[in-house]
Amino acid sequence: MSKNILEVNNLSVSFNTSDGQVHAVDNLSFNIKAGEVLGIVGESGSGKSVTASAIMGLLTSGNVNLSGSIKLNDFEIVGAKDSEVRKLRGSDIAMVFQDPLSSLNPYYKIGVQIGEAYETHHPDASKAEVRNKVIEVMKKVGIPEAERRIDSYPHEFSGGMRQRVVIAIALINDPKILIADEPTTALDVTVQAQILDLMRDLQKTSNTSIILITHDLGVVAEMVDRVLVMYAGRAVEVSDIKAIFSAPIHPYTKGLLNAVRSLDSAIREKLATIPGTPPSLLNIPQGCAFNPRCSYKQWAGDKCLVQKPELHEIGNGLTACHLSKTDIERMNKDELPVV
Amino acid sequence: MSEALEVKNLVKTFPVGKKGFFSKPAGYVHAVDGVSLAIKSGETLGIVGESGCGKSTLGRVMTHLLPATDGQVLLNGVDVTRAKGEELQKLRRTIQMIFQDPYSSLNPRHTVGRIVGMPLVVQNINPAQGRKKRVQELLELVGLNPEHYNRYPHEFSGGQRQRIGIARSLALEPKIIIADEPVSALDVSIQAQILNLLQDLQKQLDLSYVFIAHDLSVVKHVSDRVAVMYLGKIVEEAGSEELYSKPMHPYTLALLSAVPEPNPEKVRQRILLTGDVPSPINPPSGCRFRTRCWRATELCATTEPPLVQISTNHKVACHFPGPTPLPN
Ligand SMILES: Nc1ncnc2c1ncn2[C@@H]1O[C@H](COP(=O)(O)OP(=O)(O)OP(=O)(O)O)[C@@H](O)[C@H]1O
Ligand SMILES: Nc1ncnc2c1ncn2[C@@H]1O[C@H](COP(=O)(O)OP(=O)(O)OP(=O)(O)O)[C@@H](O)[C@H]1O
Ligand code: SF4
Ligand SMILES: [Mg+2]
Ligand SMILES: [Mg+2]
Repeated sequence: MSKNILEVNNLSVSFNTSDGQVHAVDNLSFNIKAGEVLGIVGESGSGKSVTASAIMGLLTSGNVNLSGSIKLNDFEIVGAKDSEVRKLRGSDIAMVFQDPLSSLNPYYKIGVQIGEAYETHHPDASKAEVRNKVIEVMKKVGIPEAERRIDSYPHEFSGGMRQRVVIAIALINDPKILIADEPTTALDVTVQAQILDLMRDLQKTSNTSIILITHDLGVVAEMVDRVLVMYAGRAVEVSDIKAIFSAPIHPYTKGLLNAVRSLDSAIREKLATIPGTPPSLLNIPQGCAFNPRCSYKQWAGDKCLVQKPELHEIGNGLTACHLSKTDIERMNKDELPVV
Repeated sequence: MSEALEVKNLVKTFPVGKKGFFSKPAGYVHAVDGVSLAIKSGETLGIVGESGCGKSTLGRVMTHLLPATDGQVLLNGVDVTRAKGEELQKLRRTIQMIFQDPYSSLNPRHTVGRIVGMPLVVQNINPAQGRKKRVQELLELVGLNPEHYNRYPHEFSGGQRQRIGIARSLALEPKIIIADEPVSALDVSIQAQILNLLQDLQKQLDLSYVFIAHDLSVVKHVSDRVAVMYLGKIVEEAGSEELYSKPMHPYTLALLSAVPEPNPEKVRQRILLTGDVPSPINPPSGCRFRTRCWRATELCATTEPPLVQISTNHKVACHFPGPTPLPN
């Protein structure tokens, strides 16, 4: 692992809406190395998909305010011409979207849609070459009877099959960075295991970097090297995979991990949740955005209510929490009383 | 407990490869192929299985969003397979569906208030507190801010949209809810909230759930019984505890072994299924799982194994059921 292939610095994204400004991403910084798998987890609505769209250069509509920097191999995406970003999109950097339905056009055969992704970046390819490439990639992602199903329409596929089509589109140009936003949520676990294997292979053989956005902490545990935890548009923790599961350094991460079930959990017991509801992004709480739901804030005095915690190092990880190192260690041993 | 909802030998096929309106289709997708199930009132039946094995189609036929090709749907013992008009309206009130896809299931041009209130309008129901108030209560019930009444779906994240769908499905106070991947778009803490909520509502309102999901730990958590589907058929059905502790069908074994473990230190012994997922247009002869099964013999290719009771609370469709031996 070497140089950073992607560097995101102080990225902020807000949307103007009729109700006011929605602060979807707030001063976010992170990076990823060649061949690294970075997981992004966090609250529903915490800005994970918006971050992905920003990296893909897709946030161009009139109601978006975007600032900060996103550098892909020294190429600055923020503020770049759309024509230049389009050259990168689908070749150097590709994305698998959360929503398998709307990323496919219902009126075109799936073979045409997969082929289009190839033709865009290989304008000289012959028809036969494109067709072969399409069948090859369809097989790679496990679509049965590829030769026949190449002429099917999206509605003839189940949710899971459609997601394989979407993944085929992303992989056809062997991207350097693959952003996968909930790539396996619609798939059964055996197919999920195959797709995860596929992504792992890709990462190993082509040294592709992967940004994996998911709610499934089992998938995170299996796939990623490092985890970025988001809450209300901010990074609250960045830690190595082992560290985050054994000793999370932010109260939100701790709460998230408490809510995880495994196959060993008992049937019908009440699940642990984080009290309260996610904040409105129109009106993010002062100080630490997590403070209204935090069970540990009294240990940091009044700071949490007034001062925004900056991301800083604790051990090998980064946390945006006012708790002292000792208190975080006590939290992990469940020795820090909660309120 | 009475059988709230029962399906008998349910079949749903889709024509494929039709060239013109009057021409014959080239084949049929056998999406649901002879499924029989019963859900008691107040009970949760989990359904798991391969992507594309027909779970959503089964749910849609149960809720009358799709007509059955063959077989019966019984509601409290009454055949409603071909319900129309008034009867269908009533049925719609009793059975509701929460959809898998939080994007396409919400009309992008309607406000959240309108979406959640739509069932009330369609069924011409005027709650005592007024429709708007009722909708705001529903939003609050699922953990959304009632102030979001006038916002549009695109302004919400995937997870928030799924909660809008859940609020909508609760509007008519149904008795049976078919939940198709209701929490897969949510983060685990919100998942936990919604699962707790669904369980509380179940107790309060004596709701029955059919809970379709890929997440086997979620299904285990919420279900009294679990049915495992493969290519349009039920291959195993058992009480939750029983199914997870004593799986008998090779596909169930493979499925359980593939669940990712939320612990990077723990590695589970995986059963890797080889071979392609067979096509539902031309399902394999005999046992449909045989092309990927490490126990398959000649018998499996010639004779379809029926779903048989092997103990009071356990049915399996396999010629060689059992928890072992595993493949290498
Ligand atoms: N075009 C838009 N206009 C207004 N608000 C938007 C827009 N797009 C996204 N948002 C808001 O930005 C916030 C972040 O959304 P995003 O989709 O990134 O969340 P997420 O972390 O991916 O959530 P999930 O896990 O539920 O997918 C949400 O509150 C959403 O409502
Ligand atoms: N309208 C349709 N026309 C043709 N085939 C269809 C149609 N709807 C569904 N199918 C097919 O029926 C089969 C069952 O699909 P269904 O969506 O019920 O599966 P599922 O078990 O819900 O899958 P997933 O887990 O991926 O959601 C699939 O092979 C699908 O391609
Ligand atoms: S900064 Fe304070 S409120 Fe925020 S997570 Fe840390 S202790 Fe809790
Ligand atoms: Mg998202
Ligand atoms: Mg489905």
